[in-house]
Amino acid sequence: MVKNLRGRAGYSVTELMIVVAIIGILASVGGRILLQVNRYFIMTSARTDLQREARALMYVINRNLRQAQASSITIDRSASQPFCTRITFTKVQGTTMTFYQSGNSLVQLVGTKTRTLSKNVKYLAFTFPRSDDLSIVSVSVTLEKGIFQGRTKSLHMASEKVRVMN
Amino acid sequence: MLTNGRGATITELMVATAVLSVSVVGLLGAFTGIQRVVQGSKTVTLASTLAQEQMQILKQKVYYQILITTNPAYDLNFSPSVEYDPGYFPAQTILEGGVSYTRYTLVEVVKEDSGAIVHLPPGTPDTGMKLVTVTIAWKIAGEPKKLAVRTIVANPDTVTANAIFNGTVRNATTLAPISGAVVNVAENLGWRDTANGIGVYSINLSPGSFTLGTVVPGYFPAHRSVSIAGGQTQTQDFDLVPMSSGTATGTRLWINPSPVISQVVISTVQADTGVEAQFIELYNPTAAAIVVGSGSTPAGLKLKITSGCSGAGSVTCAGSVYGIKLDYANTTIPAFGHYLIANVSTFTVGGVVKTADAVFADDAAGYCSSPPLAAWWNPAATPKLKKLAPNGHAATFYLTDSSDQILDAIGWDHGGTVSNYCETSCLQFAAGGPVGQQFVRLPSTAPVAADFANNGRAYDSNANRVDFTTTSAGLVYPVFSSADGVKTLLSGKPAIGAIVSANDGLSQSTQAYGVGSPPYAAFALSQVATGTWTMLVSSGSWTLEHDTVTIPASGSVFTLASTMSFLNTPNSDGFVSGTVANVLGMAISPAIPVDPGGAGAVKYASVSNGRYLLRVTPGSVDIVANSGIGAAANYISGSSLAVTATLGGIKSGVDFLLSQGGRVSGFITRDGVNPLPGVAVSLIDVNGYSRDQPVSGSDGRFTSLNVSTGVYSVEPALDSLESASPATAAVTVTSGGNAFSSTFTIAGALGSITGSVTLGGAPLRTGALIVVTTATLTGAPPAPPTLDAAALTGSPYYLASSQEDGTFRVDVRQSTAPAYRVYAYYTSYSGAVPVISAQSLTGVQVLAGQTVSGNNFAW
Repeated sequence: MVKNLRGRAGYSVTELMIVVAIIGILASVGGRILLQVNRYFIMTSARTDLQREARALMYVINRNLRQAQASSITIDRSASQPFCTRITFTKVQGTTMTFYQSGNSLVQLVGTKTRTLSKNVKYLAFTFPRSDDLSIVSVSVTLEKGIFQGRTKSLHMASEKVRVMN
Repeated sequence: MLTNGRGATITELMVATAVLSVSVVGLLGAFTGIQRVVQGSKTVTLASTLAQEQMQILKQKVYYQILITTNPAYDLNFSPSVEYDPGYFPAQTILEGGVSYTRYTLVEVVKEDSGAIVHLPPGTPDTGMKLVTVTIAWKIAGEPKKLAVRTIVANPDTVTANAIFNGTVRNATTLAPISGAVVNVAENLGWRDTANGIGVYSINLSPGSFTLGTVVPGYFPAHRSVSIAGGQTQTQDFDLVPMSSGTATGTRLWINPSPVISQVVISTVQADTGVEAQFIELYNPTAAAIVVGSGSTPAGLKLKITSGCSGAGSVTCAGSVYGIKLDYANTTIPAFGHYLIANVSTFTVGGVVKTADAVFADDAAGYCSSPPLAAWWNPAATPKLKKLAPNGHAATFYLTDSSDQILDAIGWDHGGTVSNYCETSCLQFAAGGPVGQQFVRLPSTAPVAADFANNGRAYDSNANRVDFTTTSAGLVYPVFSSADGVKTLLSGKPAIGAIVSANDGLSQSTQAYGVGSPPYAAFALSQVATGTWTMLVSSGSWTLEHDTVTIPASGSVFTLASTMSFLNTPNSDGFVSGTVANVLGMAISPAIPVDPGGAGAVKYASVSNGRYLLRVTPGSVDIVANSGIGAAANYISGSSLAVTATLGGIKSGVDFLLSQGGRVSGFITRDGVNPLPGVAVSLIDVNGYSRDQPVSGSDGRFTSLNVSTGVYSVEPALDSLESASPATAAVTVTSGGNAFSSTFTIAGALGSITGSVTLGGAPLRTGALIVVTTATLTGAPPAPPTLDAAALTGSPYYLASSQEDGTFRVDVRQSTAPAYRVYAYYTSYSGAVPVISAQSLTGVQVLAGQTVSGNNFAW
């Protein structure tokens, strides 16, 4: 050990200072970059999540609504929920189905079974563009997800007109 | 390890850091790439949803309300461009998922013909089929994307076509079947069929009297009047007579676009009072005088030189090209005249005193503009004279236009030294330039001596050695200046490659080819149908039109006279020809206008043979016969879409068959007085076919032009909740007459309410619920009732959600008393508990066909 140390030159002060400086820069800049990358990742994944969620729930609603009997469609709301956030209809096969908003959730009800389609509902409306024509139902939904400790929000809005086939 | 190991050096550390950074950057790149793919697939899904939505909206309409696109517009961001209807279904811009989409709609008349979908002109009577194309266009990172969805909409009230025409189309001479012959009914282009491989066709149609015909290239067209009763099958064979044909030929086609150098003499050298003159003679073979220059400034033409000059009295020109500075005594070269440029203002040649039109300028810069070209002095002359090209050297004179494009050049060799630019081959002369001798351009391919005195020296096959003659001794040919008047043309540049076409409808166009020595351009246009036709020869921007190419009998040969074979008409157009005839194939009088739209001027078809010839801008042209100013009111109009016209070529066989007709008009109102725009009206003929669908204009009036004579039922196309009084009106259309159908009053037509929703001054992007009703909603907040079939029998309700850009639009039926109330609901959340805040507007009156805007809500 002693021999080894004696046979070697130590670090010079300059070298040490350079190392310290580099580590300092890495620590300050690297940390910030990591944070940015992390935020970007969270934001894009939140957006993708919302889009996927919106597509999935639109698909479920449209597919079922298309098979509804126009005369059976009722649009109202659950207690103290926003207006036009509940749609109940009977499909040609005889199944009665309800989609409704409950707080921030969109729930599908078949018989007594419930299934939550989304927990990020910001806005939902089932509307007849014209009450004299019950064969077209317009479905509009906006999903919202808070990110970055509640400071920024990601939004996704989807809207479709569904033509009821029966 | 630790004991023996060294620590990491700074270099190692830096390398490690670099490697780490590279991988981090790579990872980030991959991440963004994946994101882009995910976003891309999302935008396509949204586009597809938007297209489907428009399809649903259109399918919900009454068949006759899906209006045919009559005047399409184009989105040129795509190739081929996207066609859409800017009138009835204008492009919509929709913001969804943060992407701005544009939605285009196009409706076309189509017909199934032998298994294929055939697109028909918009004026075609209803075929029972419409092709709807919805195209969604958007941009990703500036790159245009599109998605198109197509569907066929069928008329639910299609009339059963219970009569059938069938038969065979054959060649009358050989009795061979003609497959691919299109047989159609002149009164309804939708009734058509293409003869199959054995020439058999079959057309299903309604009973009546029609004109049945077929037009096949190379055969005389056949039309006949036929009548058919319901349930009948009638055989109508067509034996078509092949057109007889001959050949049109020509052996000298010339083109004279610009002036040429017609003579060069380096030195007159003969004892001419001690003057050694040098001159260059130009000839203008065009019909327009050209300003050469004035003072010492060139204008339309420039003279230049390159020379290998060297030796005493010269500097080395090193092969560069120099502009020659001139003093202009005469400013212009007359049409078909000459222009003489010399080193002295007056000189004698062959005993004749010539006065130069321009002389070499003698100033500090020498004869040339820049840099000075050394002068070759003739010190023996008094005063001393300068020459540009010295004796005994290779050189080239150039004639250029004002933008330095070479129009003509003449160069010569000297003792095996080749001038560095000549047209194909340099002239050869033992002493270099023609000293005491002449280089003279030929007046024709085979000139006689008199031609040199009387005609323009214009033959130019782009080969100096071929185009010029030289004198072996002395100056035997006359020298011309602008004072020598007009010299007529015998030749020019051979128009090799010129396109030759005729409007007979049978011949294909051909190209002129080079033949002979010296070469000239000849052509032979074969398969020209018997009759008298217009022939067009075109090369670049020059054409020759000959209107009386007559082929009297099969096998005849027409030869274009050599005096008529100059392509001397400037042209930047293509040509379209054809005939306009009535249903019996006869020419129509008064003359019928044929309009190529904006692509060219309207021309009238001949009243004797029905032929027309249009000059159009090259490209795709839509042609309409009998429309607009000068149209004959007693005939219907016809159109031929997307005819391709090429520069200088004739597109022939664009024929129109017009039946007799008149017009139908009417008035659409919302209350018997006030106009209601935008309502489609169907003109149903006695067979139940819709012949036209005019739409009421902003003044509520509709007019259907050029409707075939007969009895029609006029019916506004309405949805189930609209009603018209009267529901239908019967009119009788006479040839050239104007039949007023009725004043229709429409009840229950739609108008719109539009507005915006804002939150804290910015557009509300999350969506607000909009409820429009004539009822008064009660409660806190005012609550819309439960909406279902049982409850919605009273007051109407119209509901919508605001869009991502914070705007909304609700279509509502006309109502002024009671007026509408508009309610808007915005929901915020306290945790998961919704808090509804409502606003309302009252007294919103909506008239049919109107948009009530400015219904804004702000939170």
